Order: sequence, then structure tokens, then C-alpha cells
Amino acid sequence: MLMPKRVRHRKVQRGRMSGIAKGGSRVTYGDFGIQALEPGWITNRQIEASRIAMTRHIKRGGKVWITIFPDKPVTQKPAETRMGSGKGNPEHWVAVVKPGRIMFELSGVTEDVAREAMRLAMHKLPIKTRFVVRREEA
Amino acid sequence: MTDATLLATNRTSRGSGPAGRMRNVGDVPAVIYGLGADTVTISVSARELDRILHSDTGVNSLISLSVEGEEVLALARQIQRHATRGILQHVDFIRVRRDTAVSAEVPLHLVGEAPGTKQGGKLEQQLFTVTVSAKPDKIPSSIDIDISGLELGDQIHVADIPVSDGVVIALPGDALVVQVAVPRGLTDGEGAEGAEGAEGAESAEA
Repeated sequence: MLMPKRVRHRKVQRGRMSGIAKGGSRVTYGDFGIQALEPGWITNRQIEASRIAMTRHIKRGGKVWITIFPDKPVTQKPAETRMGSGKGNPEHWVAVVKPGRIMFELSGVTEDVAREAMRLAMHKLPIKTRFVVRREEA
Repeated sequence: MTDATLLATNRTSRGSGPAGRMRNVGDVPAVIYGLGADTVTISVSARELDRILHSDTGVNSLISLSVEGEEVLALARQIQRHATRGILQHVDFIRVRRDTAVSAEVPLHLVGEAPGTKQGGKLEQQLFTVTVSAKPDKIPSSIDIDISGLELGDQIHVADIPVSDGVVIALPGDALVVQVAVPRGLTDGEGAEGAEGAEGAESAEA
């Protein structure tokens, strides 16, 4: 699963997810993409589940790009623990996604196959998304 | 190629507030610069500009801007769109002269079907646009690349792209544009077959 090799800080604050994506809102590597329509945290497990759903459907011939990376650690306190005693332990990694962000790209398959593969992948994600096709016009 | 004409008005108010109000009434904040002249802030109709950008000449349409009676020949650059809604947010126009070459990004279109893909190869396009240098009215709207001759393992480089006179591609000639990649599983079998084929041909010649 995707995660950073090493980080400067083991635990980070949650932050805000206001606004829309500043970049990465156009399909650049492949022909088709999945675009986020809501802000959210995408865990590395969800990214992996989406990738597997996509590659299983396209079987052979296609190429998949993951254009987000889960570089934010999320901590959790153990169950039935009293409050206090500092911040919890890092449990998993998430990618912060804002509306407009292209998360996955796909090429080498027909549009029908890509549409179905990405529909299956979208079901693994916790946010509202849509299927997009590469656009020439800037 | 005839120039597209676009009516522009000078813009005095700046900042995100006035720009947002402008977008709400169907205008796009824009700016004109280049050729050593002063930068001018303007606004144009979003609908008209969108129509020009989606015309046959595309993004590289030569636009004749009429700014309060003054005619300015320009090309649209840095076209910013809303990340989800896709509506125009801001456009930069660069002043151009008809006799001076400018650089522009031209989309590449693949035409035909590569026979190599039927043999199990994977068509991989590495470049989707190329930077060309040409006079403003000579800039092609797109460049077609014929891939009907691409067998397994064949490649097309920038030097192989057909361009008309007066158009120069500003990229190294050996840069890869498209290839029919041989999948890992196919390499051994095909290689063995290829070697046998070559041997057979040699023996036939002998």
C-alpha cells in the first residue's frame, strides 16, 4: 500500500479542506480520469481497493496512474481509553483531496471499458466523484 | 485563416470581488501584454471567447481584440478554468505581429489503428502536445500523426512528425511521441519467433 518512506513529523494536525483544487485538475497522463467533486481524506486502503477494482476489470492492455499520494498520517487513540495523555498513535495514511482533483488516470482501453472500470473504482471511494475524459483545449 | 474578432472593455476595478461579480454576469477578466507595450486589464464575453476556443482553429486562434476602439492582434494564453465546473476564470492575451514567429502548444492527434496493438502490443502516447514556433497565422490547430504503420516495438519520434513549411517544432528530434510497447509476457515468445524468422530468412537467402 502507498505510504511515505520516511517523514519529518510522525503526527500532524488535521488542517482544513476549504476551496477547490489548485492544480492536478486535468487529465495529463492517460485518456480518462476520476475527478473528485467533494473534499475528503482518501486512505491508502481505499486507493488500493480502487486500483484493484480497476485493473481487475480492464484485465490486460490498459495502464493506470494514481495521481494522489497518502502523505498525511492519521492518529487514533486505543479503544476504551480515558481522554488525555497526549495524542494517539499513527494508524493510517490519507491523501487530502479537494474538489476538482484528478485521482486516477487510465489509458489503453476503450471508453466503455474505462467508464465501467472507473465506476467500479469510484464505489471504493468515500467522496462524490465523476468520470472525465482528456480535454485538448486549455 | 480569418481572425476571430472579440469585443473587450477596459477594466478599472481589480481583485477577487469585482472579478467574481464580472464572472456572474457572463464576462471573463483578462489581461493583454507583450511586444514591449503596457499591460492592459480588460474583460471579454465568456460565451464569445468559449466559442472561439472551441472553433476549428482551437486554442491557437488568432484573435483581433477590439479594446475601446483600438484593434489588438493577440493569442489566448494561460486559459484558467474552474476545476469542477469548467467555466472560464481568467485569460492572458499576448500581443503578436503577423510577421514575427511565436511559440505555441499544438495538440497531436493519432490517426488510424496500429497493427502492433492487434498482436498484443500496448499503444503508449508520451507526448500529447508539441511546442512549435511559427508566424501566428501559420500555427496549425492540430497535427495528425498516422500510426497505421506501427508494428510491435515501433516508435514515432518528434523528428518524424510531419509539419508544413514555416512551422518549426521546438523539441529535440529524438523525443518519443508514441510507441507500440511490447508487454513483458510477450517479449520472450515474440523474440524467439523473431529470431527463428530471421534465421529462416537467412537460410532462404543462402
